[in-house]
Parts: sequence; structure tokens; C-alpha cells
Amino acid sequence: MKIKRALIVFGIVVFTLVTTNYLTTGGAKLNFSENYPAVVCPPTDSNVNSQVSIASKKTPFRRIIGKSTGLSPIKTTRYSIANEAILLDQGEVSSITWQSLPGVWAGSTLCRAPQGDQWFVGGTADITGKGRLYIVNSGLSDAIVDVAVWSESGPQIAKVLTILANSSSRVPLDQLATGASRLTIRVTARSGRINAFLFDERGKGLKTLGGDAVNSVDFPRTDLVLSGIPQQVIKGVGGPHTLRILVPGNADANIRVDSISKDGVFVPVGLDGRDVPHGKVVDIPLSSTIAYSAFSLRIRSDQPLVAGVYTPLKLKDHQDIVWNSASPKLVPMTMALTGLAPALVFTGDTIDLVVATRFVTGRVKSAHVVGSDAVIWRVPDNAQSITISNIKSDVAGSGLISSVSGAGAFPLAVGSTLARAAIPVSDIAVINR
Amino acid sequence: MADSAFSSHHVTAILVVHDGAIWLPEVVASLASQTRPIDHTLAVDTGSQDASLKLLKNARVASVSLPRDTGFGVAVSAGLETLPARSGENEWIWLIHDDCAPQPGALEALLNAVEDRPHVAIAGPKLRGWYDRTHLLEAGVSIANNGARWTGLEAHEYDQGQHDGIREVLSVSTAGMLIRREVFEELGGFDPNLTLFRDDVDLGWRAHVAGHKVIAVTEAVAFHAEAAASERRKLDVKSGVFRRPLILDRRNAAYVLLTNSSWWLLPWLAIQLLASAMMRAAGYFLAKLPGYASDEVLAVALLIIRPGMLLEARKFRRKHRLISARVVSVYIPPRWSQLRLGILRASEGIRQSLLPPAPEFSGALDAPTADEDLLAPATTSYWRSAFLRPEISGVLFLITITSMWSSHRYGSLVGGALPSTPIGASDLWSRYGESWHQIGMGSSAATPTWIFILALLSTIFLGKAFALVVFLFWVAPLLFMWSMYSLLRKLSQNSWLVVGASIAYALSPVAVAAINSGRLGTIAALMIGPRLVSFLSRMKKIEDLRWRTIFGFSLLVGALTAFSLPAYIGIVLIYFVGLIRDIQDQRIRPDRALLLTRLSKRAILIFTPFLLCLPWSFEALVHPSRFLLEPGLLLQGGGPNLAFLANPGGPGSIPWWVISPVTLVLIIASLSSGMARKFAEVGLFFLVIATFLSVLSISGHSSANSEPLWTGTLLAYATIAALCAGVVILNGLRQKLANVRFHYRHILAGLAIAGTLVYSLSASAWVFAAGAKSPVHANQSSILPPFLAVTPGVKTLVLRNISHGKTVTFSFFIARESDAVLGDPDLAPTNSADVEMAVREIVDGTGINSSKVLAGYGIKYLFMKNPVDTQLARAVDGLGGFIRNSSTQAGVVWRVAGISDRLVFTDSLGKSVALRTGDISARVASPGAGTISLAENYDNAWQVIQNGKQLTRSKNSFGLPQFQVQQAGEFSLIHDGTSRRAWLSLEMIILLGVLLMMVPSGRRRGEIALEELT
Repeated sequence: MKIKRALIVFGIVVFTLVTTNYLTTGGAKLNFSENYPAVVCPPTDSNVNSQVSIASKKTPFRRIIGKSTGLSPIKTTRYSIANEAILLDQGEVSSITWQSLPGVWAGSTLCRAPQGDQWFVGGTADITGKGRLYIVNSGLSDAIVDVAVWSESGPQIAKVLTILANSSSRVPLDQLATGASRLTIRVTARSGRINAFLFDERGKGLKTLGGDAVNSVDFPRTDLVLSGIPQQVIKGVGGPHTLRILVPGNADANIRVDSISKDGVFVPVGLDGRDVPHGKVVDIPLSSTIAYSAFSLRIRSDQPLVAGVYTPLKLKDHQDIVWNSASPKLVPMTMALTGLAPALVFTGDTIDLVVATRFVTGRVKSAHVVGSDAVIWRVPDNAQSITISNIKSDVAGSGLISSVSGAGAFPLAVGSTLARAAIPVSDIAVINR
Repeated sequence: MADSAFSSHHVTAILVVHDGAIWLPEVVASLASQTRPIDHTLAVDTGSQDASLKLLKNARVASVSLPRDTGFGVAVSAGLETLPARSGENEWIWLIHDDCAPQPGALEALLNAVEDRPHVAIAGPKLRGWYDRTHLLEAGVSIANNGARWTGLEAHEYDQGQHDGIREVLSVSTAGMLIRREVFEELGGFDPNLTLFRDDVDLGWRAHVAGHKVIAVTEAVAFHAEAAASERRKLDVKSGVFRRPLILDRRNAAYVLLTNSSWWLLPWLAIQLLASAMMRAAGYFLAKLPGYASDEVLAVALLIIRPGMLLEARKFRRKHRLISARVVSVYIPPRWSQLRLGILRASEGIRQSLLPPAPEFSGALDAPTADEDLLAPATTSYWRSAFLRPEISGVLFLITITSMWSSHRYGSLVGGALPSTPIGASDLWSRYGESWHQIGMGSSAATPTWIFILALLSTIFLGKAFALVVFLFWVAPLLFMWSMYSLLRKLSQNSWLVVGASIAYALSPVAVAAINSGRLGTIAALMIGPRLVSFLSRMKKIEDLRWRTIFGFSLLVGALTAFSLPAYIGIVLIYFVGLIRDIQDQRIRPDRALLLTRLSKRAILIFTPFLLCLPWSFEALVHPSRFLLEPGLLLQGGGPNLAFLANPGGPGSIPWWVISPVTLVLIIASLSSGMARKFAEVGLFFLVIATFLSVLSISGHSSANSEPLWTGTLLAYATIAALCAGVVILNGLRQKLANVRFHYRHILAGLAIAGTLVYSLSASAWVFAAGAKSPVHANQSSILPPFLAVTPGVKTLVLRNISHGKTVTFSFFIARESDAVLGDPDLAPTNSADVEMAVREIVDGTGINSSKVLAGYGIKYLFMKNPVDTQLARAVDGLGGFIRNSSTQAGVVWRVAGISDRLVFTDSLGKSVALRTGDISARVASPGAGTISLAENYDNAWQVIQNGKQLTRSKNSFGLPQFQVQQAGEFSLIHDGTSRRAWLSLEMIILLGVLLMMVPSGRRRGEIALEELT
């Protein structure tokens, strides 16, 4: 009898422990909200044409001006910006803004979600400089922004700007660092939903020297790739390029620069173990024989730095310039390119990816891009968007667009990254000590 | 002088008989044995149906027979009529009841007294009890202003001669009253309206105002059974309404006062009579004597409906009055005397009930002889022997542990599941009574009943609610120990064993975790649980339990239910086991009456605690998850593995490696036999249930987070059962094991003892060293920055990271000017989907309309508690509609743009203005016709009244109440608390009913033993 009872008790114990451990569900769980923050495309001067490529006519948008807060469908796949910046809510799709002053210059920039910190390497405030910095506050509260400027003579006095809600501010570069010829600008949002856009336009008297949009990077790095630097070969001679570098830290940097093109990888003379002083914007001229087609630069440094490449181009009846910024590591993305047919330059030791092109007709065509070092792939005409996927190795990419007005480059980067925020849950414990 | 007295006075004894056969032999004998012989004895029988007449005849007492409904006064008058006409001045009538036996010298003493006092018309003896002849009944009598019969004596006052002497009194009892025949006839005898009771006082009063004196002669003694007053015989007189002596007594008392007092005193007397009747009725009601209660009221009513009788009686008295009625005022007892006597009687009653006289022992323990005294040690160290007593050393040990354990708890406590405590009891009372709670978006939920209990206790604590909570958490281990000690003492006489087990209980995993994490429900269960066991052990014979016990236990369970619905469920499960047994028993031995008795008692036990917690408990039916939750904030338990070790886990609990022996003891005890096994079965049942329930993750109490369920209450039951089983097993185990050969029992006993010792040492060490670092601690700081608490009722959306074990969640809540306080988590409403979505969009950066939503809900500020996510702060900055107010060490505060007030008026053009409002209600002016929006959750009790009319209520776009105003002018905003008041009234009625049922019942006079009564 006692043995039977002992067995029953033992059975209850085992059953209880096994069952309860199997059924245990765990405690508080985090739920996340995932979304792509709306991106902002730059405002423009009244004489400049500006078009944004859109993936869908149903994309919600609003102009960033006054009290307009409601979003409405954009109803076009290529939207012309009149003056004001626009806010686009198109999810994971990135958009390119193509700006041009007919017969004078053209440039491209990525529409991006608001950034807390943006670094622009490019621009000048010397006598040729006509550049400007746009700061857009797409939020509905006033924003406070710090603008820090470095030049060849070192850091300039930082400015603190207040940007009214739902508005933009145009700041000429010569107001930021009058007379400086080499600029690097950092825009930091203290508060607010802030985007900054830099346009470097140059002229000498009545003569225009071209212009371009300078794309931004988020932060200084020790290893960066400037992909898709255009090379204009005239009579067998390549054009001049200038590498601009700022080491914003407190120590000088020692850098090594690799030139990467379809012809191979090499280190230009004098760029292996070169010291770069900190706190000053340094321009390093690159040899005109560095490549005979679009190429890329990879910079490795012992100190975080930001860099850009300035390329002057000679067009039929005028000059233009192109600023290449560092490209981030390529990630799968979809980019709206309606009306544009850029040449995509992929840079990496091994390049193996798929680019699917969606045409305005709705047809989709995929291409397998394979190669090494640098591969140039041109987007077909009538493409509405491209989707890059199946990226099998570390690759950086950029796009090059040329037109009669000029050329522009943009990094292949997502305009809006998936924001993953823990969904707040109601809990009275927040008001308990 | 005695001889002259004998010769000059003629005494006729009139013995009024009515079914007095029990007492009559002694009465007749006492009359016959008077040292001063009675000149003539006449018996007047009022229709006796017993052997009275026969006895009288045998005793050769002349008698007159009258109808059975004849009153005392009429009987006396009838007797007088049969006597020869009065022959001289010194002719006396001695009135004798058939239950009153005068001592032999009574008449002589009376005559001696009146002999020297010619102005005395009435004299009476000292009356003593019939059965207990040592205690005094009366030595003269009067009447108080409230109609009470006033003797000036304490209840059952022992006669030590303290009232002896001859003194003038208002009156003397008709039992033994000696009255001059001349005066009696002059006064018109007894008032025929006073058939019984108070006729003596009335006669005495009339004698006084006619210029005569009344004396009490204590040398004369008579023994009186008070058969009519003590309901020992039927009341057959004509005016004995419903045959109820109390009605007649009260009615006659009022009659005497209202007919004899001065006219200008009548209103005051009437008020006093009425008030005292009501008070006495209430007293009788509380004593569960509704018949007496109704008698009190009826007596007054009977008099009021016959004003003509009163007028006639006053007219009669006016004719016979020679001096002012105020002459009797010296005999009316002063109010303070009544009060003093009342207090004395009440305190004596309480003393008797609390400290009943110790039973007298005799026999075995005789006083030591002189020789034995010599064997006792010459000197004893009282202190040393005191410390060697397990009870004292155990308490000192626990106090030492608790002092260290509570070292961080000297101050206002908060943390764990315990919100901060309001400063005063008044805050708790108002929280309990209010119909609308200003928590979150507001709630009309029923306040938990434990708030009522805490408010009550806080009031006893001089209104210091926080002091009560500090005290409660400090003494909790000691109370646990005491409660368990009281239980275990009934199971074992081994003090060391009982004290040791009680300390183990006070330091059990569930006790430590409950205190450290602020679980009021489990603390209540741990305190009350052992008391329940004492009762539940008697449940098998529930039919033998008195209703008073049933209701008393229901009240105890009700108090526990108020704190912990899981505890109630646990008890109900045990009740159901009893119910099943009843039904099985009924099948074996059918007894319908017995079954009904059992079922009705079980029904009371099951439903009364639930009803006592109305309407809160009723709401739990609508939200069944509350049956699993305890008061306070939702805090996780430790999961099934810890629960199986009787450790509820969660913040503040004992670490897993301090393994309690509860489970081991239960398993071992389940293999034993007898009482230990029964305890073990119950304990294992609760342990297994708790283990299974701890698998659940549950949300509630204003938290959307799902947390592993805390099963502390059920584990408390398991722990109690384990300790009981352990004590039963270990009690006398050493002797039992010593008598048998070594076998598995030795091993099991060794395991249980070793496990208990290891646990006790490790748990004590942990509590001593690390117990103070508990979630519950003294903390004066506040989550909200002070400036957000300036405006009453202002709403602030608070965003903050909250730690849930290893997980940190980002959480929010709407605060109203202060941190969460006791009761808030239980009462707070769930947030609306709009607010949740707005907050979600704020966090993910898409909430460009969030500020509008928050403003619509009357939320004025957004507060992000440090550490602040700078990206998120920037996102809020960028959203628009949030104006950064401050960024301090506490966190970042934004003001929500736009009109975000509680009460907003919007005109037909859409222009809005904020209106001033109080905490809940408001009286403000509307600037014109339009809409008034109230930023509180919608509730049908919200009303706006303008010009005496209720405005139409509807829901606005956020689902909040809004009212259509037709014209400018003042209006009142109120939350109608009628429903809440009704529920509270019902709850109070139930509570009073239960109290009434559990207090000792009064006994009808007829039920009181004669020995006690007289």
C-alpha cells in the first residue's frame, strides 16, 4: 500500500515538473514596430530644375512648407520640385533627386530620412563659390541645429541655427566660412527632424564652372570606399581629380589609398602611408593616369576620417564638377530611377549580385552582375526602379548620371533604413519608484 | 417600642397569586413565620391554573378569586374591598407577591421604621434574589428620565450591607410594600392603567406629591423571584399586549413619566423616551433579539396612539396633588449616575468576555508542603530562565533578524508590487468612497475592499497610512510567527518544535518574497492562513458549528478575500471538498435535514466573503483574471520550478539554491499516516496547483506586459500544510523511532530534519545579509518632476524603460500629478487604442498627429524619464506638436501643443477655449452655445447640468464624453456617485449583518437560568 502511494506521489511530482516545464511560456516579451521613416528630398533654387524619381504614383508625400501636415498621393513617378523640399513616405524604396541648371550643371542626391549627424565633404566658399547648404526641418516643431565647418585653415566657429517647423533654411557657404576654399561641413541636429543638403556650385565672374550635389555620410570611418568616380578621358588623357580628406579627431591620420578600377587595384604614388593632419581639410591631387574609366578609391586609415573626390568635367559647351562621397556597404535595396539611366559602379574584391529592373511597362528583368574589383553596369532606359539583391560579398556601389547639363554621382545607399522600435506598452510601473 | 408597635398597628397582608405554585409554599411559610405576626392574611388569586389555590387552601389562607386577566392593582383593590372598613390610622396593608418571601423579621423591621416616622406612608424591604440570596435586587426604586427602572445598584451586586439603613426613596417595590391603608385609599390605589410593572413607582410618586414619604427599610429583607419580569410566567393581564412583559414595562414606564411629570418637562421627556427606546432597540437588534427591539418601539407607539388616556391620568393626578411634582426630583437619578453605571456595566461585560474567570482547580496540584518548600532553590535567575524559554528566545531571534532585514525600510515604503502609500487615512477613505478615480484617463471601477481595511487600520494608526504600512512590513514576520505558533500549539506541546516551525514559517521562501516584493495579498494570507486551518479542521462536523462561528469565520475569510482573490479561490476549493463529502455522506446515510443544514452553512461560508467584498468582487467576475492577481503592481513570479520548491520567485525572493524543505516534508508526510498525511495531501494539492498556475503569463493591473503569475498565496497554504505535517510527524518522533529498529522512517526523518536545518540556517543568513536589499524600500523621491504636480489633475504621459527580470520594456502610462499610490494599479483603466497608437507613433517617429491625439485626451505633458534615448528624443522633437519644456537629470519634458485641458468648450465655428475645472467636478460658465468636451473616459455617470437641466451627453471623436450646450451661462459638471453610494451601502449592510450575526447573541429573559437572573 505504501509503495503504491509512493509511486502515485512520485508520478504526480514527475508529471507536474515535466508538464509545467513544457508549458512554460516565458515572461514579458518585447514587440517591435518596424517602419521606414519618411525621406526628405532637397529643396531647390527657383532657376534649377529638380526631379525626384518615384516608384509609385500612390506614394504619399507633402511639401515641407508652412502648416501643411497631411500627406497625399504624389500621382506621378517623376515629381518636379518647385522650390520646397518634399517629404516622401515610400517605405523601403529609395529615391534620387536629379537637379540641373540647364547648360550649367547637374547633380544627383539621395533623398534620405532625417539624420542626427551628417558630414559633407565638398564645397568652397572662396571667390568662385556659389554653393549653399539647405537645412530642412520636416518636423512640426522648431529644430535646433549645429553647423560645424572645417576648412584648410582648420575648424571654423560653429553656428547654431533654429529651423522653424516644417520649413527649410538656405545657408550660402560663404556665410559659413568666408574665403575658405576647401570645406567640410558637419550638421548635427540637437532637436528636430533634420535633413541637410549641400550643393557646390562654382563660377568665375560670368563664367560657370559647374556644380554638383554633395552627398553626405553619417560619420567618419577608418575604412571607406569612394565608388564610381567618373573619369573623363580626352585624347587618351584622364581628367584631374582631387581627394579631399578631413580627419576630425585629435590625431593625425596615416592613410593608404587604393585605386580600384576594372584595370585592377593599385596604390597611387605617394598615397601609401601618407600622413594627413587632423582638424584641417586637405586636398590631395590625384594623377590623371589613375584610371581610364570610372574608378573607385578605397581609403584605409588609422584615424576616422571623411573624404570625397572632386572631379571637374568638360562638357560640350561648359564645365561641370562631380563630388563623390563615400559609399556604405551595399545592402539589398530598391531604388526608384524613373527618367534616369545611371551607370552603376560596384566596387569590391568579388562582385556577385543580382539587379532586377522594373520597367515603366511593369516588366521586370534581372541581371546577374559578376566580377571583381570594379564592375560597371548600366541601368536600361525606361527603368522605373531597380532592386539589388543576392549580394554575396562586401560591395560598395554608386551611380553615375550624365546629361547635357552635366553629371552627377550618388552612393548606392538606402534612403530610409528599417527603423525597429520597441512598441511601448502601457504599464503603471512607469510611475512607480 | 416593639411591643407598642405590635399593638398599635394593624397589618393585613394581601398576597396576590397568579400561577405561583413554585414559590408559594415558601412565601406562605415566610408569612407565617414573621416575628411580628400578621394580623390578617388574605390571598387574591387571579385565575391561577396551577396548584396555587390548593396550596392556599391547605395553608388555610383566606382567598379571593378573580379573573385571570386581572391586573395587580385591581387584585389588591379587590382584596381591600373584602376587608372590614378601616378602623384606625395605623392600619397597614402589606402587599406580597406570590414569588416574594420575606424574612421572618421583615414585617417587624418595617413597622419599627414607620413607628418612628409618622409621615411615612409607604415602606418597603430590601429585596434580594430568590436563587442567589446574597445579591441585591432593590433597596428602593426610582425611574430615570429615559424610563429605565433605577435601583442604583450594579448588576448582581453582592449584599454586604453597603446600602443598609433607612432612607427616603421615590418608591419601593410592590413585593413587600407596606402601605397605610388610609393613604392607599386616599390615593385611589394603583392606577388601573398600570396592570403590571411600574405601578409601584407610580404609587410612590403620587404619594410624594400628596405630601407623604416613602422609605426603604433594609433591615427588612425579602427574597423576590421576579417571575413576571424574568418571563417565568405568562402575562395574562388585559393590557399585556401580545403577552410581552417588555412592552408592558416600557409602555408603563413612559406612562408614569408622562402622567406624573410637570407639563413643561413633557417635550423633553418625550424626546428622551423616544431616543432611548431607539437606542435600546438598536442594542437589542445587535444582540439578535429583534422581539425585544420591536417591543421598545411598540411600547412608545402604544402610548402615543392613546393621548386621551394620558390626559385623563394627568387630570386625575392633578386632583390628588398637594405639592409640586418637582418634589420627586431629588429621587430621579442624575444623568451622570446613569452614565457611570452604564459604563461600569459595559466594562464589566467586556472584562467578563475577554477575561473569563479562571476555572477553579483542585486536587492534583495541592499547595506544597513546608518540606517541599525546602527543596526549592533558594535563589532563581528569572532573566536567565526567561531567555531559555523557546518562545522568548525565538521572538528575540526573529526581532534581531527582522531589524537587519528591515534596515532599508524605515520611511515611506515603495517598490516591487507596492506603490507608494498616501500620507493620510483620509486619502484612503476618499479613494474608497469616490465614484471616479483620477488615474490614467479615469476610472469608475470599484475600489478594492482591502483599501477599506487599510483605511480602517490607518485611522486606528492616528490617520498615518504610511506609518501603518511601515509598521506592517516590520512586524509581518513576527505576526507570521505568532499566527503559526497559535496553530501549531494545538498540534504539539513541544515548545522548541513549535517555535522552531513558527520561525521557519516566518522565514519561509513565500514569506520572505512577499515582504521583499510588497505583496499585500500574500502577507495577509500568511497572517490569516494558520487561523483558517484551525477552523477548517472543524469543518467535518460543520452542522455542529454555531452560526456565530460560521459568520465569524466568513468575516475572517472576507478580510483575506479583500486582499487576495486567489486566497479565496483556494479556500473555496477546500469548501468544495467538504461539499462533496456531504453529498457522499448523504448517499450513505440519507438525512435531508442534516444535508440542508450543512449546505446552508457551506453556502454562507462560500458566498459571504464574496458578498463582503462587493462590488469589487462582482467586477472580478467580469474580469476573471483578477482571481489570479494580488493587490499592487503586476510583478513576475519565478516560474514552475521555483514554485514546486515552494518559492514563489520574482524580485526579492530567496535565491533558488536556498531550497526550502516544504516539498520534501510534504512528500515524506504523504507517505505517513494519520493527521500528517491529511495535511500533506492538502499541501501537495496547493503546491501542484501553484506550480501549474505559475506557468501562466498574465497581464492586468494596468500593465499590458504579460508576466509569469505569482502564486504566493497558494504556496503560503502549501507551506502552512507542510509545517503542520512536519510538526505532527516530529512530535514525539524521537521516542517512536527509538523503540523500533532502523528502517526507512529513520532516513526520511533524518532527511526532513537535515533539510529544515540547512534551510533555516541558509535562509536566516541570506535574510540577515542580503534581505534588506529588497525591491520594497524607503524612498522619498518621485518619478515625476515636481513642476508637473503643481496643477491638480494635470495629465502627463510618462515614457520609461521598465525592467522585467532580464527583459527591459519601453513602457508608458498617463500620470496625474503624482506617482502611483496604493490602489492605483488595481483601479487604473486600460489605455485607449488611440493613445496607444499615438505613443507607438511617437516612438517610431511617424506620429505627426500624436500631439493632437494626446491633446484631445487632455494630456498636457510628455515626460521621458532618464536615461533618455537621444534618438527618440530627437524624434519627438521632430514630430511637431511637442514643445520641449525642460531637459534635466530627471528626464526630458515636452508640453503638448494646443489646448490640452480637461474641460474644453468649442463653439460652432470650431474655436476652442479651456475651462477651469476641479479635480472631478466643476462649476464654470460656458461662453455660449457649443460643445463641452471632457478629457476623461466615457462614463454614464458624467453629467453636466445647466439651469437645472441635464445636457445631452455623447461621445466625441476620441470616445470621450461631450455635452451640447445650448446657451451661455454657468453649468455644473459632476460625476454622479449614486451607484457607488448604493453599492457601498449594500456592502455596509452586509458587513453589519455579518457583524450582527457573529457577535454573541443576547438571551431572552426566559432563557436565562434562574440562578443567573436572581
